[in-house]
Order: sequence, then C-alpha cells, then structure tokens
Amino acid sequence: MPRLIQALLATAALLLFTPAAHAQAPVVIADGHVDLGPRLVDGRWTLQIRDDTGDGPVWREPADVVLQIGDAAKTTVPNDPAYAFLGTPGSEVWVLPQVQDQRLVWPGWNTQDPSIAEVVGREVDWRLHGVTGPGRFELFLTGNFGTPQTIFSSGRPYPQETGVEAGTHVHGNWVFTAPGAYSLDVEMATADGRADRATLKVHVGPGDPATAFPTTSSAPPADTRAGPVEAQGVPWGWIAAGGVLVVALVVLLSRRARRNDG
Amino acid sequence: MRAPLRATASLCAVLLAVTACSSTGSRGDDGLSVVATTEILADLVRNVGGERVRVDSLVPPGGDPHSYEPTPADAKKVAKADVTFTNHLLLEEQRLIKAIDANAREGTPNVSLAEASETYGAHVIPLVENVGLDVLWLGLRVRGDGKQRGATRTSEVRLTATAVEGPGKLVAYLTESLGKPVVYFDSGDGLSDVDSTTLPPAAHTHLNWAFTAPGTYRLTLRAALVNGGEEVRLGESTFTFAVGVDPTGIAPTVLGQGHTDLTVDLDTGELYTFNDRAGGTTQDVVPAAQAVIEVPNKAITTVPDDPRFAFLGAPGASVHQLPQAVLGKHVHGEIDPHLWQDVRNARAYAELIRDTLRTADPDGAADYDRNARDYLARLDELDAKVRETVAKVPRQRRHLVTTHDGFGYFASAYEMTVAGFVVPNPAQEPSVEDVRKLTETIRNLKVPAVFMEPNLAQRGSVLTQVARDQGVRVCLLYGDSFDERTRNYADMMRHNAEEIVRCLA
Repeated sequence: MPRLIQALLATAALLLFTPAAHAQAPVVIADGHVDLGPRLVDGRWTLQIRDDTGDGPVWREPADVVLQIGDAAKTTVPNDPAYAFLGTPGSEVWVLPQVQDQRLVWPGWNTQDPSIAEVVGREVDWRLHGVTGPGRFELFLTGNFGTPQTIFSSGRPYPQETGVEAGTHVHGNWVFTAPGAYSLDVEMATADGRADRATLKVHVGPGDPATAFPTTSSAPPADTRAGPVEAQGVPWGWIAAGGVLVVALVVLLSRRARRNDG
Repeated sequence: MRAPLRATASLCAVLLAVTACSSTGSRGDDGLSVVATTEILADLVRNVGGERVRVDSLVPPGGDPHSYEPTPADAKKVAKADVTFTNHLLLEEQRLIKAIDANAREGTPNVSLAEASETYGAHVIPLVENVGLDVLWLGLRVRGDGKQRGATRTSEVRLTATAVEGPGKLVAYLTESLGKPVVYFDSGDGLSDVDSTTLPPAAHTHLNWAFTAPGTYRLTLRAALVNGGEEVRLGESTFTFAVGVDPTGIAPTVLGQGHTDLTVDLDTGELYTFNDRAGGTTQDVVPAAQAVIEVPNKAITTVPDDPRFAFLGAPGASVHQLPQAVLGKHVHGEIDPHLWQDVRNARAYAELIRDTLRTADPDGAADYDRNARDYLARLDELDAKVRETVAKVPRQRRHLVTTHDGFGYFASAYEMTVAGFVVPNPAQEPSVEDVRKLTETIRNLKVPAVFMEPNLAQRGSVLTQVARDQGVRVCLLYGDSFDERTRNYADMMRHNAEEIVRCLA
C-alpha cells in the first residue's frame, strides 16, 4: 500500500515536473549548460534548446527560454588588433566564453540528439537571419594562439551560414556590446530540405529578463500563456528603451514559420 | 549551394534528357559523343560505353586538372557532345567547369560525378581546410553526480598532474576568449601544486595540449573531490600520447579522431577516456591503460612571437599541439574531390555513367547494362586486389607522404594514413613552414619513402629535395591523371597498391 502511494506520488510528480511543451512563462537560464540543436519531435525536424541545468537534460522550445547574461560577463575589449572587431580597446562588452565559467550560462550547439542520426547527413547548415537588440552581436571561436575566428556577426549581411558536422557538440564565445534584450533569428537545416527557424532570446545585464520579451509566441492559445507574465506588468522600461525594436521583434516572432519536409 | 542539391540537379538533368533525347536520337553514325574532363573519367566512360560511344578527355594526357585551362577547341568539343562528365568543382580548374557549363548543348546530360555518385553509394569525405584542426579534439570532463561521496552542486573536482614522462615538455593550457593563455599543467618547470586545476561537477572543457619534442609521453593525473574544506581522494590514471610517432602497438585503442575527454568519474572514482566517435551519437569509455592518444605530425605548429606564449618555447620553435577548438577544419558543404582513389567509389561512378548513357541513348541500354556489369565485376576484383596488396605493409608503416592532398580516399579505403603532403592543392606554393612540417613528418615517422605524382613533377621538386635531405626514396603514385606507361584506371590502381608495398613494406 505505501508502495502504491509512492508510485502514484511519483507519477503525479512526474506529471507535474515533466516540462510541458509550452511553459507558462519563459524559463530564464542564467548559469549552467545549454545547447541549441535540431531534434525530430513527432517526426518533425525541430530546433530546440537542450537545458542541462537541472538534474537531467530537458529539451525546450526556444520561445520558452531566455538566456540571461549577468554582469559577471562584463569585460573590456583588449588592446589587441585581433579583437578590434569587438570595438575600441577599453569599451565594455559582455562575453559568454567558449569554456565554461560557473557564474554564467554556457550556450553551445550540438547535432548529437539520437533522433536525427538517420536524417542528418554529413552536416547541418546553421543560419543567422538577423539580430535585433541594443548592441552588436558576435559569435566567434578562439584558436590556439588567440586568433579569433568569426562564426556570426551582426555587422555582416544576412543570412549568414556555417556548418555543424553531424554528431558534434561545440561551444564558442558569445559577445554582446550593450545591455538589453536581443533576439537572434536562427535556423538549422539539412541539405535535403529539413529546416526549422526560431528566435533565440538573450537578455544582457540588469532588468527582468522574463519581461524583456513579448511573451506571446508561436503555438498555444493565448489563455494558457497569459497570467503570471502579464500580471507582472508590461515592461515599459524596456519598451521605451527598445522603441521600434520591440515592435520589430513582435513582427519577427509572429512570422516565425516552420517548414518541414519530414 | 550544398553538394546533394547539385546532385539532385544533375539527376534532374539526366531525367530531363530522357524526353529531350529519346525521340530524336542525337547519336551520330560514329557513336554517342561524350566529353569528360579528365582521362580517368574518360576511361570509366569507355569501359561502360564500349563501342557505342566516342569519348574525349579535355585535360590532355599527363595534364593536371587542378590547373588545366580550356582552349577554344575544348569549347567546340563540348558544344558537339551528347553527354558531358565532370568530376567536381574543386578538382578541375574553375574555368574548365565554366567552359563546360557554358558550352554544353541545352538538353544534353551534364553530370558532376563526385556529387551525384553519392546516391549510388559513393563514400564521400568532407574537404579538410585546416589539417592542423583535423586531429583529435581533447578535453577534460567530470561525469556522475558523486552523491555517495558527498558531492553537491557546489563541490569541486581537483585534477593534478603528478608525473609526466616524455622526450619534451607537455603543456596543457587554455587560450581565453580574448586571447589570454592560462596554463593548467606545465611539465617544463617541474610538477608541483600549481600543476592542478579545479573543475565543477558535470564540467566539460577544452584545452590546447602542446608537446615540445616528438615521442611517447605519459601523463599521470590524480583527482580529488573537494566538498567545502574537505578533500576526498579519487583515483589516479596515466594517459599515453603518441606525439609525431606511429601509435600502433602502444595500446590497443588508438584515439586519433573525433572527440575525447580525459574524464573523472565521480561515481566510480576512476579516471578514463570518454569518447565520441566521429559522426556518432553515442559515447564510450576506454580505460587510460587501454588507450593511446594520437598527436600526429599534422598537429605541428609554430610558437608565435608573443611573450604571453613564451611558456611553449622560443618564437618560431616547432611544437605538436592538439587545439582547443577544431571547428573550421572542414570547408562548409565541400567535399574532397578525389573519390576514385577508393575503387568502390569508381564503382558508383560507373553505375551513374551507365544510367546517364542509357538515358542519352536508350537504344544502347542493353549494351550499357552488359558492359557495366562486366566492368563492375572487374572493379570488385580490383578493389579486393588493392586491399590485399596494401595489407602486406605492416600497419605501423602505412604512412603516405605525397605531393598534394589527393589520397585521402585511398588511405580511408585501404587502411593507411595520410601523414603529410607538400601542399593541399597542387595549384598552391609551399611556404617555409610547409617544408619544415614535411621534413619533420618524414623524420619523426622514419618513413622509408615519399610518393610523387607523375603529372606533378614540377611541384615534386620540393618533395624530391626534402626526400634527398632526409635520405628516403621517392616513389610514384598516380593521382589525378595517367602517363604514357599507365593508360587506364585499373592499371593505375594496381600500380599504386604495388608501389606502396614495394616502397613501404
């Protein structure tokens, strides 16, 4: 009998804590490991975020996640010509390093989910279609002797494309040049046409990350998503700061489309 | 544009041709006119097409497809052709591909074999852009939750280098985001408490692993779990590295590709290697004593003239280094074009050629089928013969040093390694560093011979000079074309296998 109750409780707990496909409010992740990567969900090629910050990995919809970059990430551009692309020496930048810093979220990207093994081919095309935010965005790798190798830069024309080899897991340096809310319009696709595009939400510096972004995104009906987030109030401060940007973001999110051949 | 998309486009061209050509029958009295870019492709077409086709190769006998520029006469040949075959953009000179695309008659099949043959089962290798990155990606990791040892999320794992044996220094260091190096372990100034690092539970990090002289190294790492002030001792293991030397026989498992972490397991207390095999989605454990980590000569790099890296040695000194980041080793979306060096790929080419000819000349379908069947059987025998021949060379001597990077498929198919080459593409000029790297590769591996390609005699002067300086033989492998002695693909592959045995065994 106690065993039965235990089992029932466990099931209930599972139901409660198994992350729903769409959480009520975005999950703010400020430290620990996450990866952006493709999976097959109900047979559909889907771009999701693997969240390793809890006891086991959980895959989340990008719309349900905000990556928060705290001030531990704040540093200054070194006086080194190799890093001039980040700004003038001494200017402030927020850097999520290629190698884990316990105080910060550590975002990477991977093509290792077993569900895609059969369909992925040699590599996945990773595209950046645009970035909105108060500053610039740079994603680069640091080579052997400190030579930076740019993967994406908001200073370059869109779309930008890089390849992620099948079955790999990579980390890079994510740099933002001003505090505030950023939306990265990203896509991962296979050579034979499976593709999914999503908005990766990143919040830099002070302010409430959960309210820095419009909360109504893709799938579920509005009533399941209202409540807590709305109740916290409209983020007037950020809207004022962002101005037109937030409007652009709403447009961007609402036109988030999913193409799928699988 | 991705390769498979182009492949699809090529197949579409073939399908279009069904309707375009079947009724009119463009085949003239002297047979179906086929133009191929290289002699090797022309030979495959001849074997499948038999007497029904007349084949011309644009690159002349002994010419180098990487540098051959088309003439007006070539454009004319292409314009008259009923079918054109190219290999792949990165093999032929771009102007050659353009001449074909611009002059091929509308509606005639124009097939890029390398890409389209993938659907016929060809094995394709991504094009390596930076060989220095085409090595094992080696990191550090902590696995398990260690709850039974009292570990919490705030615990730390201390990893200390307690011994290094080897002919030179071993330095493990991280170059931080903005270019500053941080040393984890450095055997150059003796090992002490500073040769240690702390990692959080579930940590995973990547480092540069530098070695200042070639040879075998053994690194002993000791792990401890730190809970607040209390330190719980975990295991100790010795990891072996084969730096610049052949790893065969040092330990049962050679770790030379993909991704490996030297891993502390908080649950078992052990230290072992934890490996992602290339392209896989699963990981496996290999105990430290069962594994040897390969640091090949392509990992040779030069210490920069930057005081922050003085711990590696004097500026300009040579070190073997596994890099902290390997992204960028391949050219996005591109493939190594030399597919035919694997006979099974030539088989896929032959099948694609058969289907293309059948479409262009349906009346000859039965002939093409029969010719292809015979030729495929001969290719199967050839593949077995090449494999059996190369197997006579002891594994630890199966190193290829060549003029250009044209033998990746041969090495992959017949279990050899590409130890080095003068330059990746014969159209490039070698730098002083390229020559030094080549010299060190020959010396470190003690290879008895290097291989020149007959059509690259000019480029071969660097290879010949280095070989003479090192006192090793210069042998001959056919890469991208024939010469006056070897006039067909099967002879070329047989020669290559026999030459490898003659010069390396």
